[in-house]
Amino acid sequence: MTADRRLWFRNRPDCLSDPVCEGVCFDPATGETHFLGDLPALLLSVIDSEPVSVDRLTQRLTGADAIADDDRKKMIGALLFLEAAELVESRFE
Amino acid sequence: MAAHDEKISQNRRKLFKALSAAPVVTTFSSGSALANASAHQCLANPPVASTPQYLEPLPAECSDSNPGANCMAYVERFYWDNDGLSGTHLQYWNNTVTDGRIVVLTDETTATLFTVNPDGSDPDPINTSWNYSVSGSNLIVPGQGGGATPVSLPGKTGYFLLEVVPNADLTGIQEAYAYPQATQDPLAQSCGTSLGVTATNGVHWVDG
Repeated sequence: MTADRRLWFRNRPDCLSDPVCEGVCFDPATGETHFLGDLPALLLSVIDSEPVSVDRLTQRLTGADAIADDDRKKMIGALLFLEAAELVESRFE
Repeated sequence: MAAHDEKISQNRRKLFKALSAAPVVTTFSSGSALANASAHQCLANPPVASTPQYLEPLPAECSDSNPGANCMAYVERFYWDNDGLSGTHLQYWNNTVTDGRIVVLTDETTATLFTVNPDGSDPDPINTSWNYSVSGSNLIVPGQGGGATPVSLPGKTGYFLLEVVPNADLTGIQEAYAYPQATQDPLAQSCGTSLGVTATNGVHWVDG
């Protein structure tokens, strides 16, 4: 199985973003505060309770279906970071 | 529509900029947050234990001096996630009543794993006429006679025990209760005790 085949979603209340400090969010589900880099923050902003693929997330962000392979790997890497922080969940298609 | 297009363009610029940086997620927990997180982890990953679980309340006709068919408990431990339900068969039937509680010994070393699919089918049914179903995020447990009064249990991510009390002839379900997984943490004694418990239609569940 590869991360490519995963669907990503967040089945919890939204991580509450700090309106002043960009990239800082408080997760009410765990009580933890997360400091997110640009890419994880951007991805988190388009992940909701609907399980979607990386391609669909790309489409949500850019309006385009395709993305370069290297960039796609970076996105998957960021998603795995988010999952490790329990900010998103994934399941296989 | 123009605003939407502008948002997409803005996101695209942000994405290309973000792709050039390392993906960093740093997490900080306060003391109280650590406590909450601990409780959360306890529900999400309960330790394996062979410790007694005490189930309350008992059916009305059940007492210490009158254990019978209606005092039996059928107990499973479920884990709910978006893929549906999965669970572990703990000890099946038990009519040991002590101090007004049904005592069920969990023995996961001999337990078997099973899954209840989102469509309600159960690949490993104990009794096919008792198949569970799923409605939205709720687990529907068939009612007496196999479907007369279904009991709806709120689905939440985490482990919980499901106690099913059969009717007298064991052909259907009389009552069903869901409990947060109680574990025997040496300090806190139980993850469930650190969380509020609410009762709705006879169903107990973790508050929040």
